[in-house]
Amino acid sequence: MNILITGSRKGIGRKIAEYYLEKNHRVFGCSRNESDLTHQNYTHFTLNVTDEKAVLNLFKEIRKNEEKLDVLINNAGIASMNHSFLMPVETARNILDTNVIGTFLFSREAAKLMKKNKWGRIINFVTFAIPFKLEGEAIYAASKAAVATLTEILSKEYADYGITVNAVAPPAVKTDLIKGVAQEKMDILLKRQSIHRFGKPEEVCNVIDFFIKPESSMINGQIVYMGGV
Amino acid sequence: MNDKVYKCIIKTIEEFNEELDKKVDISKGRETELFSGNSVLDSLGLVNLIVAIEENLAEEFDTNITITSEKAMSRRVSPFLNVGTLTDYITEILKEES
Repeated sequence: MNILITGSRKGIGRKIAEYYLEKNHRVFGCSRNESDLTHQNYTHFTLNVTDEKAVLNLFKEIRKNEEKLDVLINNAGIASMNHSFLMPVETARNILDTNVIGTFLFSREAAKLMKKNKWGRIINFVTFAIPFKLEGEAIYAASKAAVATLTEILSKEYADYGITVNAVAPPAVKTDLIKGVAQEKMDILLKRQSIHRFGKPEEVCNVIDFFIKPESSMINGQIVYMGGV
Repeated sequence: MNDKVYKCIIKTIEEFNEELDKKVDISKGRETELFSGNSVLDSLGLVNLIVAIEENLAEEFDTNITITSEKAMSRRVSPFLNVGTLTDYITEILKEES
């Protein structure tokens, strides 16, 4: 399969890219900075997911060289833990732009490519901060709540093209996204999950595998919250 | 350029018609209605046609043109009214791009 992963330079995105490369898939990745991931089946694009021109160029390259795209994994996202009183509006805009517009833009362009083969899988990333209504994550949770609704509505818009759209909310995984969060806060969070431990990237891949397999063509518009949330 | 764009749109409609029960009648040339009361296309049909036109334009002109921009949506006369208005609009944005 041809798989595109946003935010593939580090963290969960990097692990997902490595996982699918090991399975001999053709993987495209992107991030704001260059990647040190080298593999004969891997192509990296350096761009900001909110830059429409750059995103259109990425899809143009895939269309010209590979002609098809099977899976899009919208992993790229940013967060900034702050009480709302302390949240600068520029930071808020950046979070909303990256998480919502980035996901939307990639989904739109991927679906245009996928509909040519009447087959596609789009997997978006949301967060347990939504059901937990996590204080300190107002804008991040709001942005991911938007992604959740986007997932549900796009799943209906794209269904007739053979494209399913689903989302996964990873459990707490030790990556840069949470490195700024105090240990006591993480401990409280882990206690709120029914499975009281950090998750592993390969466990997130397990959910993605379920969404993308051909047998999952009736799984659409669903959100899986991991960790027993 | 205008003629090349027109031919690209007509070619796309011909390809698109192969999948339609009620076909878009292109015998009216530039007056062929796209998004008007007399068009055979519903709103989803128009969306699908626009995506197909964008793809063919991308191949023909090596461009990343997006037809459904804010510019298009805010015009007093919709560029999507008929083949002629769409041809003129696309020609305009291709010229701006180059």
